[in-house]
Amino acid sequence: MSTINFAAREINFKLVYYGPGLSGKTTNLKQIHAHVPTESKGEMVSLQTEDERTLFFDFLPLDLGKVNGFKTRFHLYTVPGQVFYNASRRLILRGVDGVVFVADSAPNRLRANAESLRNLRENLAEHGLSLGDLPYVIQLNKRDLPDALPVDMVRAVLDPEGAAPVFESVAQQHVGVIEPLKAVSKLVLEKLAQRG
Amino acid sequence: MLEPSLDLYGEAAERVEAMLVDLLVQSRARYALLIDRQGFVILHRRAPWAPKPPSLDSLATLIASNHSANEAIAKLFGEASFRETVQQTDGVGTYIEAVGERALLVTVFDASAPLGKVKLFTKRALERIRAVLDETREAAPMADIGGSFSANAGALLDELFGDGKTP
Repeated sequence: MSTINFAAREINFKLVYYGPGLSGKTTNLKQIHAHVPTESKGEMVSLQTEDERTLFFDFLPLDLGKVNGFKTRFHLYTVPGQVFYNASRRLILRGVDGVVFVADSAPNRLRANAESLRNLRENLAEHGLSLGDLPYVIQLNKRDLPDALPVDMVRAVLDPEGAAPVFESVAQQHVGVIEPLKAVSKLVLEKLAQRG
Repeated sequence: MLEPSLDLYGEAAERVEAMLVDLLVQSRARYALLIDRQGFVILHRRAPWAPKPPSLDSLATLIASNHSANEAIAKLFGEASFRETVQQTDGVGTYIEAVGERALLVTVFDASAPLGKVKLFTKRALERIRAVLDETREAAPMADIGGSFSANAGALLDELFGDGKTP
């Protein structure tokens, strides 16, 4: 839930990158960190295993500047994708305002994508949230794979109702990284405007 | 919907800030922070002699996440939470106490501050802060955070990210 800190005159939003292991969540944050102007970003924190798999989370604060006299910030998190780190994923979702679901385009990861999305729904429910009520977008990553699945096929599995905007990306090359972030941020702001 | 980090505004916030300063003076700790459970800094104070702190965003995020993980561990044993959280290296330490359900009081100290003193004065500060929160019934100040906020923030997003297209 968006939080307002009247004492420091700050408004903060929490965005979480979710998805199966090795789908490119950490790569997204690294690319954002590398391309956002220095004055608009804080330190990136990564809690990784020795083989550079996310153990707990990655964290990157983005500073939007002052809006109506309030310092406005987006805190970006990733979750660990590996199945056995579910307790960590559940913790990171606490207070989430928006989700970028990073799906893998490889044919042999379609099932992992679907399982991760199901896991996201379950973990949100633990916090009394539902994906239907939460701003979220799907980022279909690794579009440069020679055998990448067609977008429609992945969408039919992950979002048959077409409820979420879908973006294609090659995060390692910084292609299609900013669009989903910008889209989910705007959805979060729209939701705030609707609820007041 | 915007949720206040803590019901702490105006004069009450100033009183709590003064309590953080007292805590630093009495315990000889470096930094005192009030953070929410999501890892956002609500208030912070630094001792005049203390070196520049690391990124407070990173510190607050890691402490809040670590605290949540510790609570999850306690729950595995059927307990609500660990009674206290202390971490110490040779040079620096952190002492953390929960302030109700939504915030944490964090004291960062170095070898010049005995742990016992840090614990004692952090607990005293905690009691005083809780008393302020209990007696404070101030209404949240009015803020322009509706449609105008979202539209203005959206414009800044456009400025930061351009048309969103990446090369």
